[in-house]
Amino acid sequence: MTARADREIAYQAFFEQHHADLARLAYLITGDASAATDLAADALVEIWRHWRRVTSADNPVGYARGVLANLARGWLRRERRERLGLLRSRFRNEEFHDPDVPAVLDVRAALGRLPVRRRECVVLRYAFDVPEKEVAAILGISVGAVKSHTSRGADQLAAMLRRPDPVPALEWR
Amino acid sequence: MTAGTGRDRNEAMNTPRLGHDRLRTDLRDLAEAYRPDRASIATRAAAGRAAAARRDRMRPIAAATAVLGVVAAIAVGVNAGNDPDAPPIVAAAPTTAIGGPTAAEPTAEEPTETKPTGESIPAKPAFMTCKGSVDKNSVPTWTQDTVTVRTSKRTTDIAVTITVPRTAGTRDAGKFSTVPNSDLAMTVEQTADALLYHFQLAEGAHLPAGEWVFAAQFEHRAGRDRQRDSYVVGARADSGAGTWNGDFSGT
Repeated sequence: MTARADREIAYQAFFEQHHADLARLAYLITGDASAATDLAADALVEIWRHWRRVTSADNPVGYARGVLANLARGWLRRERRERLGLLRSRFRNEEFHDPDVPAVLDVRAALGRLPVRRRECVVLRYAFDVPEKEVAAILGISVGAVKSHTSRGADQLAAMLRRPDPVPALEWR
Repeated sequence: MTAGTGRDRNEAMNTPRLGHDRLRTDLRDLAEAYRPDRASIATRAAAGRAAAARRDRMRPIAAATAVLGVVAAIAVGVNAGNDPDAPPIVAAAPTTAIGGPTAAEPTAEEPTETKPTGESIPAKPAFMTCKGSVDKNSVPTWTQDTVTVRTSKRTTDIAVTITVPRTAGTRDAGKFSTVPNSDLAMTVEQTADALLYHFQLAEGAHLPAGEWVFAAQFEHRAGRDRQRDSYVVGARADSGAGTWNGDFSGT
């Protein structure tokens, strides 16, 4: 009885600490606000079901992110299938809450055009600062693959945004 | 923001090379601009937990026949081979549900269940027969494993898992069922060792007596040995519950 209560308390703490982070990760990977809500919730259900494994993992947050990334990939696959022949952008403007930053919209749209693996790597590395080794574990790919996807993804994204790295050249204008 | 000068990056092959500082800012802004909806997440998670608890009652069935000694260690990265562009969809670590709460776990895994989860469920119940077959449209590099379930009674719960052990080039290529989509959750779980196709009848749904098909489709290298492909079906009718397991070796 107490064990169950303890587990519940620990799980609730985990929920409070990480649900927002997981939802944001889902949002960056899928570009879809409502899917992000669902995926974060579904990931948290999986985490609850495998609570022992989560708590005994070296990196419970990494474990959670891995679950989420996996669910998000499944969602994207289903979306893609549904969208075939229906040219509907997944990255729709009306879902976006923040009205004042058109630049951000561009980023989201560009992100949505990256191949999924690259997107996952770029998001985890850049937006969440996850070390390469951890990204590799989360996605179940090699560190070499993470490096390659990240660097290609970042280059591709930067090119789409047509914004070079900030360079001294700016000062010449 | 400090501009990570491109030249410096090359020095450290083993440390992360992150240029594009602007990109980092942009992505963080994007993440921050999104306001997670805590209430919706909590509501859906609670519903999911309830459904999972119910589903896990079926799980001892699946666990009993699982071919898998699935290991979930996030610390152990899965080496995806040497080609960084090959996208092996192998999320080995996180999703190993079948090794999850099983009969061995105490009832803490199942808050609403008072019976031990190790409840003994009879094999081959009177109300159900199952058959595994390989679809005739299968080709050397693509296979459909089909489970046909025949029931003579209305079933109030049914869970099917088709286990496809990984061999060279194994990749999920689809799944379907003759059970209406609205009444069925279909998921493909990817573990280090296998693809697990799960079909679960929705909470509150039921199936009339009849014939129901559950199919797993996947790609693979030619010459695949399918002898280890297997399935397990757990079902509940008003008269009781039962499981059935088998393979796809034909009749």
